[in-house]
Amino acid sequence: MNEKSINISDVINLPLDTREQVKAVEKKTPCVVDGRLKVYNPNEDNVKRLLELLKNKLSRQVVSSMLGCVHCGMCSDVCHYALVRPHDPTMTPAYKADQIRRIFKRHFDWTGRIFPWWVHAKTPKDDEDLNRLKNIVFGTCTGCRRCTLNCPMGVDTAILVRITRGLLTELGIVPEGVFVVSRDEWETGNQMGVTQEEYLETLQWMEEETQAELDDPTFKIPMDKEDCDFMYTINPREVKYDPRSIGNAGKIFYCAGESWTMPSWGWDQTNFGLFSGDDKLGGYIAKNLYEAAKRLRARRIVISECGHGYRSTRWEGYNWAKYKQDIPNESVVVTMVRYISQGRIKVDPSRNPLPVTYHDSCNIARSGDLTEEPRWVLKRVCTDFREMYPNRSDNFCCTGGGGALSMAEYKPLRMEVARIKAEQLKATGAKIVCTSCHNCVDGLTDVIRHYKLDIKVAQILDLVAEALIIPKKNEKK
Amino acid sequence: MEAIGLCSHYSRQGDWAFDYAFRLASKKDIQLNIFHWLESPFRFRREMVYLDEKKEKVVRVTDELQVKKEYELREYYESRLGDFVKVGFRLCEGNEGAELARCLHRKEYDLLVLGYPERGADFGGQQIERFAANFRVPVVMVGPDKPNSFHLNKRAVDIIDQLGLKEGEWSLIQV
Repeated sequence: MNEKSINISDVINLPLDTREQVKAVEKKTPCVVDGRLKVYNPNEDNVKRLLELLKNKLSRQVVSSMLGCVHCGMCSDVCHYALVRPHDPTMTPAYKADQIRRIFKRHFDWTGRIFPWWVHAKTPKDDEDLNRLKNIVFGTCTGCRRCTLNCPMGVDTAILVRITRGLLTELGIVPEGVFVVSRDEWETGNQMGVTQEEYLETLQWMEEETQAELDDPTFKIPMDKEDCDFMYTINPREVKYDPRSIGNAGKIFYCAGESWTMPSWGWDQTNFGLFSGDDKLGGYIAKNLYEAAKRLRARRIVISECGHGYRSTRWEGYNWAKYKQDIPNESVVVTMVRYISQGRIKVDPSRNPLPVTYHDSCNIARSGDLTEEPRWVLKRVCTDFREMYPNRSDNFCCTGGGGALSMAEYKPLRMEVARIKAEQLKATGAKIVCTSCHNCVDGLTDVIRHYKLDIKVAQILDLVAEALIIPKKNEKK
Repeated sequence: MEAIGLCSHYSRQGDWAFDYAFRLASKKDIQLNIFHWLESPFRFRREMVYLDEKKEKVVRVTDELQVKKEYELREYYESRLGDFVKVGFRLCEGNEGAELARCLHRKEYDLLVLGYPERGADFGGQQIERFAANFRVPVVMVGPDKPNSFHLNKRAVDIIDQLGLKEGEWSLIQV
């Protein structure tokens, strides 16, 4: 056993921190006042409320995952937590799912009602038990779904973890980071609390910057332009920490002669509802985006490089929002494939001479089946592309998934688990790890810093922009 | 030149950078804007920051902490400012490079002065030399070993006559 490893009881027994919740109540934060975002109430019967909420979550898919597990252990063969801590049974996906499964069995399955001791059915006794449940589902799983793909019975452990997170979110029994980000998303329409002014100012700034770079004062980042070929949506991290990615995208669209726009509202394609299990929040954010596209009569929605944003917008959002979403959407990586294959942009791979590897984001590859397009682009914009093993839908999580980056209290365990990712990165010999997800950029940066690797993180658009041959003004169509 | 931006850092090189920026601002009688970052070890937990430059303890950002930090910032520099009043203080959050570019867009400075802690030091997620060399305005880095060692980007070299530096004191930043 690694001497430096975290004692699991340090994670599972972390107390519930409600200081931000108290502050939100005192400040009369609107989403808290009107009950969209729940705060913890110690005087309520939270166990009873959890059982009521669970009853409403029992779809056929959920029940089959509750009942299907035969405890064969195949899930622990692939879970990065279990692989790094093989001595610790609480790290196996089956154990984590069993925490909600045993509650289900006790109350909703006949075996647990009649023979609870036989099927390990159990009810949480009090809020302390619920808090431990919180630490297990938020602190020891990044929702990467590697276990789901390896399960011979088709049990979707990640769905059970997400449902449990959602139940606890409804009780306010959540890590503080989850509360803070959810609050920001409810209040400002984006998960980083970027104000409208800051968003518009950043776009204007990027517009000026790109004009200077292209030496063309007519370059625009179009805002709320109607009837465009697509509406481009971004991750608020791009506004806050990495505005160059917006400029890069604009530069590429300009060279491709694209008709595009960005919305002034409904621009955040990320969705913390996916991580917190809060379908109402997920639906609210997704609906903002779909309605923006509808309002602008965009023919398509293009999603910037973000894993969970892609999964939420493309696959999950309209179910949460119960919204008839008929505007097609795609990842910007697919847009890049189109541009390069149709000759709309020209690229020079020699401008990216360093060895590059690709990290498949869980939500894009495993949950989104977008595995070949990023490679197709990378092989054309850099000279030395190297695969990481395992890859595609078998790749390991960056350890920043499932909202883990917002839950600082679990970081020591996350960094211990990141050893697998660090070894994977090191084995490639690459100097740049490219990914198509802003969350993975931060997750990988943490891993690289912690394990002191000599690798830089980039996104596909960064490398495309670097390789882009900007046509002279009279050459541009 | 209308205003100087200084990235404040409570260190030897940070002090040398302040001394130079202050000397130039007073000589030209222009605005000196001092930017200071509350640094967080986490990407998304902006309300959790390091207590001080030692980076040993992480604390929650409260209104009180912000007031305290701004007071510390002012106190740290005010005694050295004498009767010079054209000074602005700003507590910043987020990525240094992105925030500095944002402040530049707001025209809060047109010359940037940085302390140069060591070769290859991290600044806004990249090497400080790379950041300074590629930044859109003249940049002067001071340090890392002595107070009269100045490292300039190309844009700064273009206005060398306005920077009050003697021949032999400065060199072009090597990326």
